[in-house]
Amino acid sequence: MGWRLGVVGPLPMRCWDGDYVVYNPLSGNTHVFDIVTGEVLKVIMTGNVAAAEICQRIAAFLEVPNDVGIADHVGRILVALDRLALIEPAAGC
Amino acid sequence: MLIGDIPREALARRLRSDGVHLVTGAFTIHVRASLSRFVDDFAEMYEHYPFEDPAGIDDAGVRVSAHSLIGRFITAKAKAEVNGEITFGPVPLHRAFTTFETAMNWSVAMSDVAPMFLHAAVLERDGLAMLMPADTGSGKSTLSAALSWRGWRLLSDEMAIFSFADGSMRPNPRPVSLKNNAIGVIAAFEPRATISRVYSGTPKGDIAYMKAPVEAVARFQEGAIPRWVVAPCYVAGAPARVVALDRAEGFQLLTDNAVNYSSMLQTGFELLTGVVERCGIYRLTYSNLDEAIGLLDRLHDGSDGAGSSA
Repeated sequence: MGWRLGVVGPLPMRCWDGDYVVYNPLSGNTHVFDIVTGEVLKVIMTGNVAAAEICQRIAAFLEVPNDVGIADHVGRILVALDRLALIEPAAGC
Repeated sequence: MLIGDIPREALARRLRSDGVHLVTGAFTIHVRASLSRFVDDFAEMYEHYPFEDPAGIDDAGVRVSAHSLIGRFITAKAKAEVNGEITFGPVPLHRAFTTFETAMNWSVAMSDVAPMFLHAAVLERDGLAMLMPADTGSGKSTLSAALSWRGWRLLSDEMAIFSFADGSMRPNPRPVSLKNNAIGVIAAFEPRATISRVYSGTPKGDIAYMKAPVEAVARFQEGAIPRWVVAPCYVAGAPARVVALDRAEGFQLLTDNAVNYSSMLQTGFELLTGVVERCGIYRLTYSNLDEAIGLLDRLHDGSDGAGSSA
């Protein structure tokens, strides 16, 4: 399964010392995320990305093994971002 | 021409009839009033403010009048109506000026003179603005009143108004609302300060107004670039201390105090993130005004002072 941004065009975002502040043009809400969630969003901002690739990129970012723990953690983040309408499932990944 | 140039009786007549188009910097308001006690208070607090004659474009209109209890013969209360739509009060007649000031605050916050309003005091030095967002009771007005006599120019004690053009701060200096002990504190702190009579029995206790310094009014067309965000917090007996906040905390501080952040959508996001990125952001705890001002002066002088005490 893959993911892509829920909005067309760049997502307004600032990264300050590991805190990500993100504006969602669809909902009008502003969110503050931790560094891992922000990295997940950055990966997805590059285009349609498979969940497996997101996990791989996050494991590399954190310099930890790409194991089931990473998959669970990234999975929870993806669900949360989907609920916020920041991302959505993408076909063809 | 200034309000103070109009003889008292002529001002009263004018307020009763056509009204006065008062300019307070970023804001122009059409004031009409029929209460003589209010005219006295208004004339004192707005003595140095210009008015438009002939009238230009008003941002709002406030009418202060008696609130009739029985028919129109027995009146013991005053009210302030904004644009004929929203009414503040009724309050006892002797407090007409306080309800006028409340109506003014509301009018500014609801106006379209700026893309963003923050519940914050704003002071300027060397062209740079210090925003002090804070809730009521934080000592924001007291501190800004004191700063306005110690080298900082008062832009507002209540509402930070951003410019559409470049995100700079637009001055809107008005009488500074002082409550309870703060009235005596400022009277003792600065003998040059002109403080109104005390309005007792308000929901917030005793209120008096410090007239905005003449320089603040004379320069109310000069904006300032945001440079510092300082969240003041008065704590009785506490030594003055400045602590740096991280940017995400600063952003939260600004959005929490923004009047219209959610309605400004991405414009609001870009404006406030811009403020965060160009400003040092601090929390100031204090009980002594001189100590607090000393720390803020150090911020201005570039020695940061974060983490330090007075």
